[in-house]
Amino acid sequence: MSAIVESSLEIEVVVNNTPQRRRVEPRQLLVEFLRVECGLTGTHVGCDTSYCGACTVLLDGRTVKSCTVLAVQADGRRIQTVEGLESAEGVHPLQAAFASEHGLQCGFCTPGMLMAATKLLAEHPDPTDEQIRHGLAGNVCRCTGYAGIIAAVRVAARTIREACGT
Amino acid sequence: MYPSVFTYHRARSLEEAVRLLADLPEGAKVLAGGQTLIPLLKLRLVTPAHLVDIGRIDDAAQIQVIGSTLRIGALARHGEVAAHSASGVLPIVIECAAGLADPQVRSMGTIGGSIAEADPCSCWPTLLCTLGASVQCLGPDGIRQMSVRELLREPYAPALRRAEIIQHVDIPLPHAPSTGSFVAFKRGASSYPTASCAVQLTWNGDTCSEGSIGFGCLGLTPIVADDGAAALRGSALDAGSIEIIAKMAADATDPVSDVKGSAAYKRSLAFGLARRALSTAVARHRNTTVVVPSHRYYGA
Repeated sequence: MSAIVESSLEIEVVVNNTPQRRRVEPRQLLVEFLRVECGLTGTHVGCDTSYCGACTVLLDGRTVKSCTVLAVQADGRRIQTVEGLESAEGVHPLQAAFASEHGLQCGFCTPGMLMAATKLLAEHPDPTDEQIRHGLAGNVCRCTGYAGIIAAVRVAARTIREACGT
Repeated sequence: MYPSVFTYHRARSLEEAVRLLADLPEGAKVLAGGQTLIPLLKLRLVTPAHLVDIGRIDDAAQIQVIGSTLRIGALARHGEVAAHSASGVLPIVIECAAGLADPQVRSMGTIGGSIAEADPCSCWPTLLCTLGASVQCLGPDGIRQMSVRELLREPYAPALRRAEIIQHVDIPLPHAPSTGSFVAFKRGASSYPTASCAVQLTWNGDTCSEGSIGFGCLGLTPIVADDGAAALRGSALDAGSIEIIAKMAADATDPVSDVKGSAAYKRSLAFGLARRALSTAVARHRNTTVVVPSHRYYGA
């Protein structure tokens, strides 16, 4: 046990705008850091092999699979998880659209889909279906057949553009 | 899944990383983006006692055109290469980078890490061997240059010496009008391709003056089809000669049967991909509008 304590190191990250300073083992994965240390269990562990994308979060604004990033690699960086999507005005337009367009069934992949979609809409505010498919290519859903998910991203994009008056 | 216990070292420069690696016992691993290493650590296929993190050395992530060379720092991430204006001097580089794995992997994975893994299925090794690229390495004895083809002579065992790190990749730029095409055939975005093919053609009017064809996942290392390249020289590349050269190039592949397909299937795929890549590069030279997805999935 002492060996593990000795090899731990302190990291500072900002998770959903809240600064966090923790001692972590160097081998701790970012997804475990978020779920266990920060109590943010919205980020899911799906395949745990970097395939499915359920664990997708934003690291300094870029999507990463948090099962394939060490917590120490996130030191000094900003992280956004699915818990960071909601605001005082309520759920995020993407969350609302996933509900209205049947973009989920069991919901296990949804947190990762939402984060990948957040990034894709930041890059393409008015995406084509091809851009949506390309942007979500790293996320696997085993229920919906994807049609509802793509529709949800399209609807959310429109909602956001209308809210911005563009 | 958790990696086994290791001691973590964070290097602030490549020089410091080399010093650390030289001082540490043999078997220390270098962490760049971690997109190959971390899955291996989690499966405990590698269990290093020490990990040297070079992922924060921004100096080694630059992408720039220097004279007639496109220089890509070893720590440039795939997504950065795909989006960088300098990559535009050789569009095939963007085509390869933009479809590599998936958006999340492209955010973290680096070109240096991808080559150092020496996986015959990775897209970068295929492209870089085809384009005749070289690497500059930094080690305890100083700087050393070698071709990517030489670096990747053995699968999964790059020809790097102890404590040696890749600093940057140099891709020579063609001296005349040149067009290329990179195609990969994949089961899904996150998978390695079943087969990939890179083609770059340099033109003298409507005749190909110099060309190269290479394949990935179709042998133990990336395969450069030297016979195919010889046949490209002086060819006008009409439909008939494309067919013959694609066949000749595909003969250089040496695939094995595995879960992705039989050897016979992959040889046929090699021919199809070579024909597609050649046709696309030719169409681009003739200014025909071609929108071809570079990384194609089964059923797509």
